[in-house]
Amino acid sequence: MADNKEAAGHGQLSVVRDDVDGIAVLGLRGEVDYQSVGALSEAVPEPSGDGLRIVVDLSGVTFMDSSGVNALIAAHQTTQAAQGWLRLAGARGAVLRTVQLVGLDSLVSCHPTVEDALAA
Amino acid sequence: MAEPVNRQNRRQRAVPAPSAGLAGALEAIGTGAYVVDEEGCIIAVNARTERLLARSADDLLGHDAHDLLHRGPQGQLLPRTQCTMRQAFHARRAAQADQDHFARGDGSLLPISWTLAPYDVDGDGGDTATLVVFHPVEPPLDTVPEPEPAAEPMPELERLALLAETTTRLTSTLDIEETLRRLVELVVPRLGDWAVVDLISERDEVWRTVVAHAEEGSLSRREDLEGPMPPVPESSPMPLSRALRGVASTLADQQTYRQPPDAGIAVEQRRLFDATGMHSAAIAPIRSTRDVLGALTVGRSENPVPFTPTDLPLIEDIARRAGLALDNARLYQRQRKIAETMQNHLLPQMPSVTDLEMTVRYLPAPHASQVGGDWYDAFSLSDGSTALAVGDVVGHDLEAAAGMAQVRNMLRAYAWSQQEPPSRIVERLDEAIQHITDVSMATVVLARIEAEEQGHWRLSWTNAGHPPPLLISRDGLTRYLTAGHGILLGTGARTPRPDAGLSLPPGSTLVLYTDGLIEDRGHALDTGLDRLRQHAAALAHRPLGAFTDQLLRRVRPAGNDDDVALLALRTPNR
Repeated sequence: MADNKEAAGHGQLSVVRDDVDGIAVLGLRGEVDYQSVGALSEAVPEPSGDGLRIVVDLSGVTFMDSSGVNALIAAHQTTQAAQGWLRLAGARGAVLRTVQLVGLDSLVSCHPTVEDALAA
Repeated sequence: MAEPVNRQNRRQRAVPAPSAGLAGALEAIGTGAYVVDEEGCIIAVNARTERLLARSADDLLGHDAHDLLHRGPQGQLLPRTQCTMRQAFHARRAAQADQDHFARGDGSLLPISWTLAPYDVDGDGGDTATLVVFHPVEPPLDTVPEPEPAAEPMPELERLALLAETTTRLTSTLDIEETLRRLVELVVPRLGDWAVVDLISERDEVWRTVVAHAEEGSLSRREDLEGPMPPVPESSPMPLSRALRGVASTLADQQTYRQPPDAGIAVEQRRLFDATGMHSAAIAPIRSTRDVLGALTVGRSENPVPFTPTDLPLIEDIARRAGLALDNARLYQRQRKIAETMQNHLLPQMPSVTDLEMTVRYLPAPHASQVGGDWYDAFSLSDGSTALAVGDVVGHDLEAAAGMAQVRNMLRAYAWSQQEPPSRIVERLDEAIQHITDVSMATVVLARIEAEEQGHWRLSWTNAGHPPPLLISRDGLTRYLTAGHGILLGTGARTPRPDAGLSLPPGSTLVLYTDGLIEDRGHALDTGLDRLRQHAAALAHRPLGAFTDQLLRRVRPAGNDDDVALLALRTPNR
């Protein structure tokens, strides 16, 4: 949990950020809820000049509630405003069900892996 | 060390300027002298007191004399339970001590000897105040142990243990009933055979809330002696009336209430003493930092030893701790009640729809003051069909409840004025939410239902990010209505929403619910959905009310800290 900056003390969510050819890849690990969601929101980059493109890797997330959905929609809106995009990768199990239940998959494209999301 | 904290937090009280007569009388005394009121606060001092204690009158007036001045031989704070001054003060008798200690304003310790006596300040015959006269003495050459208070009723260690236990037991619950139950268990049979608690409500009504008796190892309640009490008289000197005004703790015996009653409360007290056979009682105020909350009475009937003034500081101390615990519980319940009342008033009564059975339930979150934004609604539409809705507004407490009210009312208005399919109405709602409400996100299922031919009913719906409705046939076959699913409200996405439709056969049960019924952290959503399906099928033959209650009881996850709204509907059997 050394890279867990935001959720230290909650121990629920860590976010690791990578850059792949100008695309921000946010790797999430743990649980996303009301207490831990700040770690995700703060990791979303500010839009710069040439469009904001983000892939959120959910493969390490075991639980996500409406707070996580809220943060992903906010990130999606940020990228839209900057003529960019947001894609989800690796959602599975309960997290995938939540994404489907609230209809997030009709707003944001979902991919099995980060590689697929980058290549799409 | 819990004891001094509360006392020191207590603010200095404003006291009226002492009368010229009183001031003159004190100045005439050739050593330190001061007067305290019936609560132990200093109301007058003479100039010699100021000099001896190196404190100005302003630093003394309005302060609790015990807290401010009285110290042990090493300068330590003295527990009230050990204070011989206080015992005499409570007993309203004169007393004196040759060797004691006051704290001076410069922090040094002044060995003194003191005498105290009841003092009739107003000259009206009521001994309401106490005069303390003191002078400095040489410290003893060798340390003589403090004289033990006479007739120590309980060993000191045991007292401290009891007080510590009182604090622990009483502050670990926020439930008023539970606090009172624990309070009673702490004082009987340890201190007496009877415990009586009178509480003053927030509307200033007195209620005899508990009359409990310890008998042969078990506690029993005397409900015949509990109930409403007459109001507290403004000036009665009788023990309970004084305690309920927050004045002081007092002893009472069978003779106390034998005299002609001065108020309704004295009549009730006489009834209590007659019915319980108490021969001796100690009555102490239960106070919070702001109000008098009630009074605690500990009484003895089978136990032959009468209470003495040395018992009062302990019972006063217990009552004060109970006051803090009750105050916390009251504040907590008030906050919770505000949120619950709001939610209850906002949720509608159900319309009676011809031929359709319908029940609704709202369960608040079991813990804390969390009232969520879960809601249900059902109302008739202008074309004669019926609209059904269940939704969830993201947020916490009052904010969510307020958001829920906005969303629900807008949906009603659109559904009534626009004769359009559910999807179109929810699209309008989605647009409006972003612009004219404070709601960030919400989910909803909106359905309409109308009679078809041959006992069938036509259901059409759209789902905005909400868990799917469950349909149960008369034979217990179940089916989640996953069609008509679109994204939740408030995202800003402008994708068209789908509608779905279905014909419900006679005897069908439809359940609309919120995620608190199925969501269980650590388990997949499908686990909750499967559990709901399984129990709904098993309960399908039950009358709708029992079906709904059993479903909530069996399906709602045990560790759930979310609220639940549920609407169940059944088409008639033919």
